[in-house]
Amino acid sequence: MKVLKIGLPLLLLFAFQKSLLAQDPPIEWDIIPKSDLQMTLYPKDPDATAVILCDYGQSHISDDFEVEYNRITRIKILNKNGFKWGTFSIPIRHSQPKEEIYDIKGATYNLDSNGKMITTELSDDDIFKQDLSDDVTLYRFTLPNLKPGCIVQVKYTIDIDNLNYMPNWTFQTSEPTLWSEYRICAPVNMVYAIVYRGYEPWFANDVQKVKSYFNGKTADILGANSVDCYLSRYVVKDVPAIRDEPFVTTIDDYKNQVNVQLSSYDFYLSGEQHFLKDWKTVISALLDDDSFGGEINVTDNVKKTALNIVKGLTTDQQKIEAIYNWVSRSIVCNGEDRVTADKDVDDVLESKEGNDAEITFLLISLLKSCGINSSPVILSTRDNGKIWKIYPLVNQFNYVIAMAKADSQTYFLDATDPYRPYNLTPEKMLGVEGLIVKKDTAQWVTFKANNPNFNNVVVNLNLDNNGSISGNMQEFFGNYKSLDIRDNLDGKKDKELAESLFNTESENVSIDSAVVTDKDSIETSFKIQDWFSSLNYAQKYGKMIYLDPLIVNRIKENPFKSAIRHFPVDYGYPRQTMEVINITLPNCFEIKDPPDNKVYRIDNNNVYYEKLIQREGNKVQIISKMAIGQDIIQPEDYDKLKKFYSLVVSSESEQLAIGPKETKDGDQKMTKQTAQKETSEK
Amino acid sequence: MMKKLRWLFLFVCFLLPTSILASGNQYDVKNIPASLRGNADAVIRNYTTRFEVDDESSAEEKVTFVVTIFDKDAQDYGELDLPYDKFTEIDELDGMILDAKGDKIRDLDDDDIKDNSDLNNYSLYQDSRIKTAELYYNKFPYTIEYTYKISYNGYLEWPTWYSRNSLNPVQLSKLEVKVPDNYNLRYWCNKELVVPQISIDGDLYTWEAKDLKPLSSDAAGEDIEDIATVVRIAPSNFEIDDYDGNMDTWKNFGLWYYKLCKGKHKLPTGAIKDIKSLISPNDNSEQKVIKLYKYIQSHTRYVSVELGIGDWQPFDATYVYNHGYGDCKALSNYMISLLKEEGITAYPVLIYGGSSAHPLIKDFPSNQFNHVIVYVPLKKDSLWLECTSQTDLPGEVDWDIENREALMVTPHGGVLIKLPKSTPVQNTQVRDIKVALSENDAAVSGII
Repeated sequence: MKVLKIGLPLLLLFAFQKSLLAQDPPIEWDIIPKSDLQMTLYPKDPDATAVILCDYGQSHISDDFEVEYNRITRIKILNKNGFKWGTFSIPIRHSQPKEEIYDIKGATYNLDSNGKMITTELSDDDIFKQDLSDDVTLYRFTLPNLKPGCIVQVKYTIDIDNLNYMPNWTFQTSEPTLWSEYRICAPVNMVYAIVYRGYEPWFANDVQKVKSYFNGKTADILGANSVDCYLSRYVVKDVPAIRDEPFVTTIDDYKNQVNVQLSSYDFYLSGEQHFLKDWKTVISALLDDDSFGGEINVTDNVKKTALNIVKGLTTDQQKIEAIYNWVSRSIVCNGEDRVTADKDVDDVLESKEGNDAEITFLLISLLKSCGINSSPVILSTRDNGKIWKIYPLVNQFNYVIAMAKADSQTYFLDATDPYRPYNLTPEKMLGVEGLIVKKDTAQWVTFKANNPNFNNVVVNLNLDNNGSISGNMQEFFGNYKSLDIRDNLDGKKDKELAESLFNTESENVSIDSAVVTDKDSIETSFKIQDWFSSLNYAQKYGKMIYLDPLIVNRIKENPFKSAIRHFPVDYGYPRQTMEVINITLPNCFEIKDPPDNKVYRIDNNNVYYEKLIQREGNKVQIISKMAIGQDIIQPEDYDKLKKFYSLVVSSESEQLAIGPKETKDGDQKMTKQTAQKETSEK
Repeated sequence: MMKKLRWLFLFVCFLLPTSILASGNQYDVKNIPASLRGNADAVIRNYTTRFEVDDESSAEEKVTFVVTIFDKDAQDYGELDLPYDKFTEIDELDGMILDAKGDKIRDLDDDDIKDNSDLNNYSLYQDSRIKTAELYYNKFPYTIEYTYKISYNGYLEWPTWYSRNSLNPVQLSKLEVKVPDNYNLRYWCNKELVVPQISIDGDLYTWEAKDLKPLSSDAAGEDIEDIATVVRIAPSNFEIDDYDGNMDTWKNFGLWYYKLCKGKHKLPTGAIKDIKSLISPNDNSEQKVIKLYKYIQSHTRYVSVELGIGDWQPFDATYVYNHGYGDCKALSNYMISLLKEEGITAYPVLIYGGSSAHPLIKDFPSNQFNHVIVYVPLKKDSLWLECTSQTDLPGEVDWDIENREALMVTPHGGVLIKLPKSTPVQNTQVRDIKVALSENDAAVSGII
């Protein structure tokens, strides 16, 4: 990252600095409306423990030619669970950029029994400075006298000594926000690229020209007269909380936010300077960088190693697979996600250890040794958040993998996990865009799951007339689940593994024995077979026995809890599960009032569920299938998806009522006929 | 299980430490007897702690930890976490990786050591930090050796020794404690048969375990105290942050804590006004306690600030009143101050809370506590008050401390006291569920 430095003769000039802001600020420190203090709940969101009444930030260029950032936050605390909103943690960096925080002010407002407002101020002694590392100090404080119903308010100013680091802003939290506003004011000859995204509508989103006066160093650079500035303003009003939701990349991706980057400036004394270049320039800088392109190196050692690995192999595809397997199994990954290397390839080969980038650079170097066309691809993993493509900045990326080409096929390889087959896209990359680092191009790719992901289980279950069950099951796990199991084997015995996968404790079922096959053949699905029994899994009442037929992988809960979701459901990869349950009833027992077959689907999303029941004699077969046919489902279909799951949950929880067959011939026949009729209707 | 272990420890010998002769490399993997390793993925080669007491506030702990790692599952042994704070300092942290033959591959670099704040998730502020060293290698087997020194400047606790920390086999594990002349070292061991070897001068105590076989995974999840020999040592006279004390007896330990709380009870006028308006002259003691307890529950919350001796010394009553928060000791002290204002005597009670808590070792006065509650002796039913909870009923004892021994701190010193056990009736959960079944599909509505 370039650091902006300008050396100029110091001139003393006296002038006012006054920004002629077009709008009044949305909040005044001293004015606390009584109605806010009297508010006891927030009807739109009954789960809210606090409400962000107003969060107002503004950044501008200070007289010291630095960024000055002011923030004022006012929060209503509704109940004791919201007390955490009375504690603040502000990280302050010591270098790149150097930041300084001052004028921290905090207060708590309560109503006393006479309805009078009581103000308790935060004392400076209660602000703690925790050195998290050499680079960061956390300013931490909690406001005094929190009581349910109180309002807390905090304000502070941060100076940032580098114009490249104008703060970003996030407009939503895990509690509802009534007003959140961010203003950025900068001279017109300093171009900041401001980008916003989010799923909630903007209440205001405008730019206007205003005049400012500067003193000090800034006046030396910009002149002491009035300076034309752009004032950008972003406001959301009354936006919902974003709480933990299932099937997301990282929840922060879905919050309304504004990002700011210095793009260029043009001053009389320094001339025009560009900070944001284009992606091609970024790529060529990376390739020239010693800790990136410089670490991709076909050394003698690398060459020797590579030739050894591919000895006797003829096709490029075989070679790619062999080199991948060798690297993933021989080099330990020390687990740091980053895009640069400290160690060169020879060191990595020697020490057999490296970070993600070092391993990838070795992999590329080995591939190149064999004449295979290979390049790095940089990306931001799902939990690191989406790339702002408009900013050609390398610090957005946290991961690098290898791309290799053989014949007409392209492979994306990440050799950091010995249990992952070469053709399985890591889960943390699914749906993510990567940038191919290849000279004179700027090509993006989107990573998708290559293979279908099936999870299948077959259960043979025998029911005794006293209600006890016994049986066996064989489960074939989907490729991501297989990898997850192999990653966490930790020397577990087959039986322990079956118990943990089966969650025996909560089901009252005991695993009597288990066999795992293909534990180490990572290209194939993980398979486990076990034998189980239980005296009280099924419930017996009088002559009747009630049995939950889906003894394994039953969907018990709707993952979607929120009433609304304004952003997509991101499954990462399509998936399909199937359970086949073969039940043998005790002789002379039958199913009473058998459940109907079910089919639920959301056609335009390839979402599908089916449950079929077939009976023959004292055998019953239940097949339950579910498929999510695509990785992303748009928010328009959220209601349907939520309804779909609730239907699935009730279908999955349907018990079988099993009782002795009626003795009279006629009755028995009739029951059977009725049942058949029901089935054929479906 | 237990039988087998006792058998193992019978073979623990307490001979003079036999110096390992330099026949080749000491940590060559060949020097591990095959019978010792079994299928284990790591073998602890040497875990020696030497603890030297200089005087009432300073001591030094020198540790050598050597482990041979046989496969990927044991690589975590390469990570060493060393917490420290205002009273301890870590110096001379060294490490190296040795190959299978015991030849050095490389030394620990400065880059391999991180120094971070040890901020836990319940404290607002904490001055403790943690140094983390990491060494990894991928040619199995390899051996990692760490040596480090911790200097104590003020102490309340001394290290505890475990002959083993895992199921993995141990070649040598040793604790040496060097005390000043004529110092009577107090120690406790969980195994009756294990006694230290004491030097002729009486100033060096040694516990040693050798060739501990791997334990089967059936023992996994068992309490470490059941699978290891555990030795605790404790100071007699001590001084920390200018507060001196003695813990030869519970009485003395209590006197030290009493001293820390002295002068912390003065209430600001606002608090006195509050309680006067709350309490009516007709209230009996029990009614007063209940009213005051409800008052602190509605006016304070738990916030922990751990600064130096702040781990032990409570913030005073005025601080808690002005801030509306405090940690267990500060809130307890505040509660006691409020009661004092109304002429009711109450005592802080030191206790250990948590699901993995072991019974208090009664005959070994030492710091075995991590929590403080309040005891109010009353004519009829005495009351226990958990001052960090805003929802407990007065007298309610939380599940993780019930039925435990604790130390009540009186002006005359500490007294052991046992907390009551809750009765099944108190733990009964009653649910009144009314369900209305409707005929269309599965819709159920009800009142719980």
